[in-house]
Amino acid sequence: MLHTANLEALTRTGFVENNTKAYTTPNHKITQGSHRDMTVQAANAKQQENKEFDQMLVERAQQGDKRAFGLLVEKYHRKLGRLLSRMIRDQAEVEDVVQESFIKAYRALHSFRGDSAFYTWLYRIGINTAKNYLVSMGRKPQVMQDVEIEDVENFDEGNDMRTMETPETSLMTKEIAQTVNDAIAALPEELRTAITLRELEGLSYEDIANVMQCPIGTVRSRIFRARETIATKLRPLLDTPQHKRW
Amino acid sequence: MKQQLSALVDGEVDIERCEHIFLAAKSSGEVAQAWRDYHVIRDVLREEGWVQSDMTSRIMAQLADEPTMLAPQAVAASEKISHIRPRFSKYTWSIAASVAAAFFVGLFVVNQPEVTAPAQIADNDADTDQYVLAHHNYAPNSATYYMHNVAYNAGE
Repeated sequence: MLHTANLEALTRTGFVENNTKAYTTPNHKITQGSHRDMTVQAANAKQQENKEFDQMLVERAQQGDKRAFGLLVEKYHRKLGRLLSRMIRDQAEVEDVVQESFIKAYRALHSFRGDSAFYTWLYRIGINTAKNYLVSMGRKPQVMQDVEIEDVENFDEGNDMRTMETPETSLMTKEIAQTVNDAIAALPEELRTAITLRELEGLSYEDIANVMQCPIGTVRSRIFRARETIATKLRPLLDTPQHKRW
Repeated sequence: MKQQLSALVDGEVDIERCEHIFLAAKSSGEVAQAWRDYHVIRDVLREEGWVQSDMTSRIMAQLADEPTMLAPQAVAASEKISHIRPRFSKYTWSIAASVAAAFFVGLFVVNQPEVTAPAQIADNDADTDQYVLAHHNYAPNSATYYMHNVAYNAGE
C-alpha cells in the first residue's frame, strides 16, 4: 500500500508514468523488459556487494566489536520485524521476538562462517525464535504456512515480502512513510529522478548515469543530496534521546 | 564521508574502501545516524520494514550485558584463501601419489605371464587325487565338493 502511495505521489508530480512501466527521458526510453533486466542485474550486483560489507561487519563483531553488530542491527531489524509480523500479529510481541532473535544471533555469531548471506542466517534464526515463542505461549502460528525456512533461503532484499500489510502497522511507520513521500515530491526533479531510479527501480549508478545522461559522480552526488534532504525531514521523527543512542 | 556512506548503502563502493567508512561510522555519531536514516528511507520506500525508533537502542542495551565475543578462529576472507591453498596443495600431492601407485601396481598385474588354471593341473595329477582322497576326512564340511570331485575322478 505504501509502495502504491509512493508511486501515486510520484505520478502526481509527473515523474512516473503508468506505475513505472515506462520512463522516458528526452533521448532514452526504458521499456519494461530491458528495464527489468537492468534492475535484476543491478540488484544482483548490489546484493553481492552488500554481502561483502555485511561479512566485514560480522568479522569485526566476531572479534569483539559490538558496534559493528549494531550496524547490522540498524540495517536489518525493520526487515526482520516485517517478516516476523506474518507469524505474530501483535506488534509488541514481534518487537520482543526481534530483540531476542538478534541476541541469539549475537551469541551464535562465532559459528557463522559466511556460507550463506548474513541476512539469510539471521532470518532463519528469527523464524525459529518466533515458532518457539508461539509454542511456548501455547499458540498455533497463525500464518505459519506463509513463512517457512525455504522462504528465507529464497528471500532477498526487495522481493515479494514487501506486499505484506499487517493490520497493526504502526502509526509511526505511516507517519514516516508520509514524510518520505512528501519530501520526495518536493525534491528538485534531478534529485527525485536519481533517488527514485535507485530506490524504487533498483538501478545501478551506471544505469542511472546512462538514463540521466550524466557522469556517475553526478549520480552519486544527486542520490546523496536527495537522501540528506529526506533525512532532514525524518530526523525529528526518528531521533532518540542522546542517552539512549548506542 | 556521508556521501561515501550513501554510495556504500547502494553497494557502489569498493570493499577496500569500506574499512575507512566503517571506522567513520563507529567514531562519528553523525555518520552512524546517516546509516540509520538511509536505511529507514530505503525500507519505507520499498515497504521492507516497519519503523520502531528505539528498537536498536533496546537491542544494543541488552547486548551491553552480553560478554564480548572473541572468536580468534574467525579469519578474514583474504586469509581464508591463503589458508586454503596449502591444504589444497597437500591433498593434491596425496591424490597424485595414490594415482601413481595405482598405475604401477596395475601395470605390474597386466604384465604378469598367464598361468594355467590350478584345477586342471590337479585333475591331471594322480598323486594329488590320492592325497585328497586319503585326507578328505580332515576337510571342513564346507569343502565336501572335494569328495565329489575326487570320487568322480576315481571312478573314471
